[in-house]
Amino acid sequence: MMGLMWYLMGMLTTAALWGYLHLRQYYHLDWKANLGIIGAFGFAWICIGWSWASFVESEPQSGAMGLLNFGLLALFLGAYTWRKFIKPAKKMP
Amino acid sequence: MMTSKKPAQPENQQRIEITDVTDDASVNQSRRNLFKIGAGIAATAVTGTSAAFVADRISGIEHDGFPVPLDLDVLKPFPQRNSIFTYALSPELALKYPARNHTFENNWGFQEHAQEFGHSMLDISYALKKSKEMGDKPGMSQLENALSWGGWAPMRVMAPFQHMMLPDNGVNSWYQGPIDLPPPIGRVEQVAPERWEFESGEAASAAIKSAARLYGAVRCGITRNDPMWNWDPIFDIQKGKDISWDEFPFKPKSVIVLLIDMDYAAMATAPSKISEATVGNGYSMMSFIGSSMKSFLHGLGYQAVVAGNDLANSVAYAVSAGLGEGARNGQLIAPRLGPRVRIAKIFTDLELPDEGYDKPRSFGIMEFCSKCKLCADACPADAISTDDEPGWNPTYEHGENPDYSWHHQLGVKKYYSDAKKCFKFWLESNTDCGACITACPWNKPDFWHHRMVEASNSFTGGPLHTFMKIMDNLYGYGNTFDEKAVQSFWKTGKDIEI
Repeated sequence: MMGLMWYLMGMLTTAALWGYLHLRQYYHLDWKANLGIIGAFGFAWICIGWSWASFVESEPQSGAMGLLNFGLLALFLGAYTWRKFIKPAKKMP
Repeated sequence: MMTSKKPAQPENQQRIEITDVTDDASVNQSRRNLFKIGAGIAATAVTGTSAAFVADRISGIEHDGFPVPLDLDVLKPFPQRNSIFTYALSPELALKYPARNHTFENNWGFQEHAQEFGHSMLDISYALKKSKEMGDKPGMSQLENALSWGGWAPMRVMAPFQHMMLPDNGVNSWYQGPIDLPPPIGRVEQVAPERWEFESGEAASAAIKSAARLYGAVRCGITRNDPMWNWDPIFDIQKGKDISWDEFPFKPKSVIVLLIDMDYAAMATAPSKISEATVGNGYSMMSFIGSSMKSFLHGLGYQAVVAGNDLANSVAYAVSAGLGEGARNGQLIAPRLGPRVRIAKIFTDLELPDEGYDKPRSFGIMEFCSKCKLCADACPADAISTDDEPGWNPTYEHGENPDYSWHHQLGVKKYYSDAKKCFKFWLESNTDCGACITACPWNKPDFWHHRMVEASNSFTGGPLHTFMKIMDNLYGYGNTFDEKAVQSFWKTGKDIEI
């Protein structure tokens, strides 16, 4: 099960990198936007890794706390970064 | 409207000014570049230094001496007769030291109750009867009793009562001479006639640890024999008498310390017959791996004796061999395993050069213990100290009375537990408890997120340790008397299905 998790996270990391490069084509990403993206990405990955591992080790409470703490943080940081630093910086066509 | 007009300047002067401006920009640019390079170097240096600091803390800070403060005026080798297990199993000691029973809980007799405990370990019918009397609680049914029975079985055959510190017994025998095998082989030597000489201390250390890994140990450290940590005199509970180290078959030079891990899912059920099963399995593995290591050393031409809880203070030797730190609950906490380990020792006359020996290391565990107290909170017998800092003497009730607190090796700055209360709970609960092991935040299975938290605990401190302790509870770890853990354990067999 942990092997599957690492495999999927590897795939998702590749997809996220592709998404980031795609985003750069349409938006001016300054250091704040980049920092927000890295932070949201980091928290999302810890959320997936932590919760998956916790459910595998039969500690569902830890899994739920992982989803709540790291997952929510990733969502909030991602949404804030999108609204404040990415969306307003759209490149003119 | 007023206008200002610049005075006319000669052409060459203008050129000079332009040249000056160009030079300033160039200088500023190079300064900026210099600044960037400097900042880059500084950032690299800070990152490198921080990384080195973190790596050093995680892999443990090496010490030249014992890493815990010792009062050498007070510290003396510990006579084995003063240990709880030895006293509880010895009618001779009960007669010799009656005050030890009298001063504990209104003449509560250790021998009488320990006999029941011993009976449970040797007689499955008696163990089942005891469990029935206690209401067949979850984790205490015939199913779990049978599991425990099986876990302890190899130790009962290989080295009976080594867990109760019985020396010179079974594979823990001190005998190094020839043994008689059935014909046609006849008499054979145990110890090879020629000694293997290692190229260096590192080569010897690597070979010994490789053998230990192959036989099944999860950690191995090598340290010098230190009479301070040896039981002296040793006590034979079967014969009811002291034994001097002069009777030991050789002068030990080195002690090889092995750690054997216990199962996380089984220990999560503590206190129960399932946690007792993994403890028993740990002891059995100590005998199994220990006897293999003894034979390995015999094959190399060196004398060797295996010890479980007998012969010496296992925790002190494991600390000396750099395998972990002593903790609040009195046990060894090993990085990445926590207190969920058993310790076996091999005494040998193989002497290594200095570089072959491991050095004691500190991993930030005691610092964490001072902020945590989860083991003390979880202890059903209130036997573990809740003091903020380690001390030189027991601080529990009646701890100042030597007839009550007779079982300590004083002169070590540590947390002193009331082992009598701990053992009493074992006897009353018909288990060997283990709640403090389960509750410890360092007791975690091998998953990446635990390694990350543990690594951060090694180099942080103070309020962050308190925060981590609170989080450990909130994340649902360390529950004791957990009936769900019993159900979860009986599903772990699925993990080895193909």
